[in-house]
Amino acid sequence: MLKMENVSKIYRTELIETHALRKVDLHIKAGEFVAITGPSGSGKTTFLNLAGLLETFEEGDYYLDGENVRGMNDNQLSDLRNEKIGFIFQSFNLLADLPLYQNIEVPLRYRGLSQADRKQRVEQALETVGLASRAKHLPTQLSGGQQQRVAIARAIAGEPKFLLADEPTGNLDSLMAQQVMELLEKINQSGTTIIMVTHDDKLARRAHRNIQIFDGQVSDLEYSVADDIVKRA
Amino acid sequence: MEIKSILLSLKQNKFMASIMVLQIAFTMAVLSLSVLLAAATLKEWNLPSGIPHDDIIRVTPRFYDPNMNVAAAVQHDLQRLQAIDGVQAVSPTDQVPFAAEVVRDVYLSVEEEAQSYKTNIFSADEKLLKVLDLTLIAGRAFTFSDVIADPDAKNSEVMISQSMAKALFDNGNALDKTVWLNKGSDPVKIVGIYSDFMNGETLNYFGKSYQTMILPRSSWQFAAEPHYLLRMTPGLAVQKLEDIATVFYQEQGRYLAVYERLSRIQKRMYDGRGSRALTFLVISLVLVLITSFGIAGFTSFQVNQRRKQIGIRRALGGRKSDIMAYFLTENSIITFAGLLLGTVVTLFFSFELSTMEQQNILDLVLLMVIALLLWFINVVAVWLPGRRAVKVPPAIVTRGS
Ligand SMILES: Nc1ncnc2c1ncn2[C@@H]1O[C@H](COP(=O)(O)OP(=O)(O)OP(=O)(O)O)[C@@H](O)[C@H]1O
Ligand SMILES: [Mg+2]
Repeated sequence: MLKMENVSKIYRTELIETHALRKVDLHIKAGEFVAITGPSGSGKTTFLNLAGLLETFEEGDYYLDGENVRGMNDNQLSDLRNEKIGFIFQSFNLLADLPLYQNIEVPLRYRGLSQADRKQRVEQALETVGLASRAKHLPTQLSGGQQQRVAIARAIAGEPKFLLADEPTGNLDSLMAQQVMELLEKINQSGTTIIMVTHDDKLARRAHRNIQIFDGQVSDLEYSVADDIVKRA
Repeated sequence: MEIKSILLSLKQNKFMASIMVLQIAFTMAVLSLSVLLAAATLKEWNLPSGIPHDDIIRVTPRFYDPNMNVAAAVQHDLQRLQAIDGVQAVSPTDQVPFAAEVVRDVYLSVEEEAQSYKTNIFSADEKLLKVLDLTLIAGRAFTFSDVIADPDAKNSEVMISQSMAKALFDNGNALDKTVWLNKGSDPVKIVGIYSDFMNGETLNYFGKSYQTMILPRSSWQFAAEPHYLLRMTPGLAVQKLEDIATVFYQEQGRYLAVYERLSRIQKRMYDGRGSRALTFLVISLVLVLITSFGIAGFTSFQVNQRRKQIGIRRALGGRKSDIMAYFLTENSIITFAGLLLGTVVTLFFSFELSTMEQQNILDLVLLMVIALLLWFINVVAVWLPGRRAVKVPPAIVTRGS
């Protein structure tokens, strides 16, 4: 599980201070599929960056899988990212120079897994996303949807507890977005906690839980069935 | 190490990588050839001269009247010089120790493929041994009657230095053997062996400093001007220099081109040598500097190009040290390829040199030291921009740029 207590994030530039997150209290339980929505600039990516240990914060406590990460040094944070978290980004963020196989292998190498172990996991992950035959291709030889599936394979190859996704379908057409969403649901069903930022209400509603961020503040959203009916009408 | 994936990634950057490999190979080749040549140059540095060079003066007159009887004028000069107080012996020669540049090939047989031996041949009269204070080691020294004055007559006898005897016959006896002064012609018999003295820059450079021969000959003509070598009473050389110069002010048809002690020629020889070696080394150092800037620039460029990539690797759990290791490994692969290629080129050229110039400059230990040095420079040149790479924040993956 993931637990934030009183976490704030302030960006300071020469001109202004931006309170990107204000006193966030949040508890996400193991196995949840959480969708985060909110207007542009409200702090969704900031939240994901903190949750994913890509950025540090000044105030509050953050427990990732029971460990308080505040005050950890850079190496500890890197190792935690490697072990516990898989990332999926809007812009895929594959390593363009490397074939798919080596792309997926990167985090496994950082974990220090043996060659045989890596091979087994890479192949398994490629299998899961349905790209087993493309191991030697370069990212540029794939469609956007396929690239995102590779990114997902890379994110899950290390069997992390958490999958953090920042608008994973933002660059995809609806058919491909559908495929990616189905994949995420499948992964969630096998036990991985997923936190996904999205602008797409329909996708958000397929999640167990909806969280809205508004001006740096986090709150749970309850959809009623009636809401859904009104929207559809 | 992720060598395989680095290689795969270099495959995508073939052009840049090959340019770096070529640059390093070029640096390796030029640096090692320069250092090898400089080392060969300095190896024969400041060897014993074998002669009392502080007490020997070299005088070189120049004859400018083509109608003059040079042979007679030389005899006249020698007598006048001999008469100066403090001059113990005078001999006319066609070459001067430390400055003998006419390198000759001599042979031990008349066959077409006979091996050649490098030497400097000093044509002089019988007094040269005394002037240079050389010791007769075997055989006999020339006397006045051996000296040939007729320009058309050929010599039939020769004296050679100890080192020359060793070069020609190894440890065998050289006396009474025949040497051909030209390919298939001009045979002369070795009648005496004398102690070694320094010949000149060229043979010194090839490690053959003491290979000389003396031909008893004083056939001076207008075109072949002599030098006079004067052996002075120890300690008097400097103070008598002006007296010697004065002799020539009073003579017709010639002027004094050079007069100096041999110790000055010796100094000049090694000074020129030293500055040549220095030039090689300075050029090499500049090249090394350029290359290290090139590598630092290349890495710097790569770091800028790959900021996103670095961020991705960091997000996926790469530590800062992993990022540094990546760049170091990548550059080591390039450097290794470059050094390998450069070594091949160096070996090729030193082999060419050794067949062309009969000079073996190759020194594998030195070559390895140079390779290690270049590798070390590479590491530093990568490490500096690499420090910027490890500072790329992982959050770049969600923020772009
Ligand atoms: N590195 C930064 N320096 C200064 N301000 C920043 C930085 N990153 C984000 N911000 C600011 O923090 C606020 C929250 O940004 P964030 O990227 O979290 O928004 P978001 O909800 O992800 O928006 P979007 O939907 O457009 O992606 C914004 O006002 C943004 O300008
Ligand atoms: Mg965002």
